[in-house]
Amino acid sequence: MKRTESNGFIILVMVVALVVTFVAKVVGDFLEPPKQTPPPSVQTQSQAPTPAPGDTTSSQLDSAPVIPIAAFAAAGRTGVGVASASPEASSTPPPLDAVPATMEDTLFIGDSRTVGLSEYGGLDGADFFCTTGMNVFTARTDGADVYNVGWVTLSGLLSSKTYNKVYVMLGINEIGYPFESILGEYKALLEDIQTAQPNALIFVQANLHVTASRSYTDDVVNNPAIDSYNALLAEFADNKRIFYIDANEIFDDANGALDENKAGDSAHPLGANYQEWGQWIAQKTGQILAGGQ
Amino acid sequence: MVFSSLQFLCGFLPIFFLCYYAVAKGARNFVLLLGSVVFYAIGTVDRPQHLALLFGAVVIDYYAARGMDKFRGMRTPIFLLSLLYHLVWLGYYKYTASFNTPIDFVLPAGISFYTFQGISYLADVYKRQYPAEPLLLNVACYIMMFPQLIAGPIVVFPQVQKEMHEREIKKGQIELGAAIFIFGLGMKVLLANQLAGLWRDAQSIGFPSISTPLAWMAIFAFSFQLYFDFFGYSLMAIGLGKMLGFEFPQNFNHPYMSVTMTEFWRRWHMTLGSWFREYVYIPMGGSRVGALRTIFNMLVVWTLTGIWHGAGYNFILWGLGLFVVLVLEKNIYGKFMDRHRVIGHMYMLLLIPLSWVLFSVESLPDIGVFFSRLFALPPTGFFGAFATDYQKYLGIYGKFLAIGFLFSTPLPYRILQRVKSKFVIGILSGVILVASMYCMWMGMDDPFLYFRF
Repeated sequence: MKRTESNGFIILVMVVALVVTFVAKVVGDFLEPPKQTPPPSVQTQSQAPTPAPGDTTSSQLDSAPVIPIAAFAAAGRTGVGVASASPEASSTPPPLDAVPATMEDTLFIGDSRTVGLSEYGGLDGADFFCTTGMNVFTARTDGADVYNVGWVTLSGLLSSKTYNKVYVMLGINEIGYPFESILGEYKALLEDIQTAQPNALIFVQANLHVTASRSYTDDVVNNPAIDSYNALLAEFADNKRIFYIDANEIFDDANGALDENKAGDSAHPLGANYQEWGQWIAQKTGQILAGGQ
Repeated sequence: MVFSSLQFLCGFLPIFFLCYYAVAKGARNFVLLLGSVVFYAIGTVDRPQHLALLFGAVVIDYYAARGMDKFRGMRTPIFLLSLLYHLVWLGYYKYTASFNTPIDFVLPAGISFYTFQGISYLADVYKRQYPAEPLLLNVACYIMMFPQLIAGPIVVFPQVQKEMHEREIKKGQIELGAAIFIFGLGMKVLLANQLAGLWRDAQSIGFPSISTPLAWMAIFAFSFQLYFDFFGYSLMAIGLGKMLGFEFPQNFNHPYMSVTMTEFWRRWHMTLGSWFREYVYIPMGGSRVGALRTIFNMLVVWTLTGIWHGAGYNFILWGLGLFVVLVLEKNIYGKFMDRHRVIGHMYMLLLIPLSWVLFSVESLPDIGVFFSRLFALPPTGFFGAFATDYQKYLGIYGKFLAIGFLFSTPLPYRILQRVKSKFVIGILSGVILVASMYCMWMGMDDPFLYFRF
C-alpha cells in the first residue's frame, strides 16, 4: 500500500488540517477583534463630523427670501387659516388639527425609496422624478420616466412645469463618498430647483435608516453614517424656503434602526409602510404649512 | 466556497485540476481528498468545528463499516450506534440549534447531503450488499468529494466504487465535463439568479401589497429559480465529476413536464427520492404491505422529506401536502392524468407553483396572505396598492420567465444534444462562461438556495 493510501496517513492529514484551521481561526480572531455593536442612533449623532463653515449653505440658500403667505396657500395647504401659516411661527407647537397637505403641483426627487413611495405611497397628484440608484451625482444629469410626462431630465421637468412643493431624498447610494463632495452636489441640486421654481418650498428629507442587521454588517451603508449625513442635510434648512423632515420617526425601532417588521429588505419599507410614509409626509407638510415643525 | 464564485473559478479550480492531472494515477485520490479538504476548509474558515464534524462522520463511517464486517455478531449495535451518531448531529444542527436561533448560527455546509451518503454506505454494508471499503482514503473521497459535498447529488457508494479504485480519464470526458459544468454555471448565474430578483422584489414589497397577477408571476419565478438553481448546481457537480473521472447520477429529468405529482417526484431531485425509497420506504415494506400500511409508509417518507428540507413548520406542511396529493393520485385520479396529458399539464401548471408556496414562505400567516393574493381574496382583492405592479415587473422579468418556460421543456436540450461540432460547443461554452463571470464580477450572484438544506 502506498503511503498516501495508508489509513494512518489519512488520519494524520485530517489532524493537521484541523490544527491548521483552528490556529487560523484563533489568529484571525486575534488580528480582527469582533465588530463593535454600533451605538443607538442617538449616540451616533455625536459622531457626525462638524461641517466646514460654508460647506453646507450657499449664498443663494442663505439669502432665500421669506415665502409670502400666498405661497403657503399655493403650496397645497387647505382648510387652515392663512394667517396662522406664517413661516416665522416655526417655533410654535404644531397644530394638532393641521390638515394634510394636498399633493397637487408637487414633485418628489429621489432614489429607490422614492420609487417605492411613488408606487405605494398613495400620494396621488404628485410627480415623481426618481430611479433606483439615483444619487446626487446623477440626479441633475440622468433622465427619469415621469408619469404623464415621459422620459425627461430634471432640468427639463423643472422648466416645463410649475411646482409649489419639491421633496428631495437622496444620499443612500452615494454615502460611501466623501461627504464634502456629496453635499456640494446636493447644494447645487437645491440651487437648481430654487432657480427653476422660485416659488416652491423645498423639503429635504432625511435618508431612511437601514435595518440593524444591515447596519451592523455593512461598513459603508450603516446607520451611524446615515445619521452623520442626515445631520449635515438638516443644515440646509432655513425653515423659510427649505425645510428638513425626518420620517425615521415612523420607521425606527427602539435602537434607531429601520424596524425589521416594517422593512421589505434591509433598506426599504414594505409596500404597506410606504403608504404610512405618504400619509406622514402629507400630515407633516400640513403642520409645517400651518406654522409648526 | 460556491461554484459560481470567481474565487472558485479563477482560484481553486485551475490550481486543483493542474495538480490532479499532473500527479500519477495512484496519487489522484489523495489529491482529490486534499483538494476537498481545502475546498471545505475555505468555505468554513470561521467555523473549523464544521470541518471536525465532517472528519468525524468520515472516520465513523469507515470504522463502523469495517467493524460490521469484522465483528459479525456486533453488526446491529455498530450500525445503530453509527446511525445514531449521524442523526444526532443532523438533528442538533438542523433542528435544535436552528430553533434556538443564535444570531450567528450557521448550518454546517452539506450536512444534509454527507449524512445521507454516510447512512447509505453504512446501511449497504450492514445489509451485506458489498464489503466495507478497506481504505479510509476511498471512503473519505466518497463522502468528501468536493463536487457533490455540499449540495449533492446524493451519490451512493456503488456508483463510484469502481472508479475509486481504477479510473481512466479521457480528453473527451474532460471536455464534455467542462461543457456540462459551464452549462450548469450559466443556468445558475444567468437564469436562476436573475429570476430570483422577482421573488425577492415581491417579498420586499410585502405580500399584502402585491396584485394577484404579480403574486402568480412571483411564484412562477420562484419555481423556475429553484429548478435552475438546483439543476444548475447538479450539472456543475456532474460536470466536475466527469472531469475527475466519475459518473455521478442525474438529479433532474425535466420535472416540470410531469403530468402528476407522482411523476414529478420521479423526475425532481431524483437522488433524494431514490435514497428515501431505498433506505426508508422499501425497508418499511414499500407498497407490498397492504393499502393502509402503504399509505402509512408514504406518510413517513413525505414527512421525513419535508423535515429534511428544513426545520420550519412550512416544510412539514409542504411534505404533508405532497403526501395527500400523492395518495389521491395513487388511488383516485393519477391514471386519468397519465392518459389525458393535456389536462395533466394544466393540473401541474397550477399545482407545482402552489406546492412551492409552502416551500418558500416560512411563516404560516404569510402563507395565508400569499394564497389570498393568488386567489384575489379580500381585503386586497385583485389589484394591490400599486395597481399596475405586474406590468412593471413583467417588463423587467418577462424575458427571464419566458426563457424559464422554454428551458423547462426538453426542446433546448434536444437541440444542444444534436450539436456535435466541438467548435460550436466550445464557442457556446466560452460565451456562457464569460457572461457568467461578468455577472459574478458585477456582483449579480447569490448563494445556492439548496445550501441551506
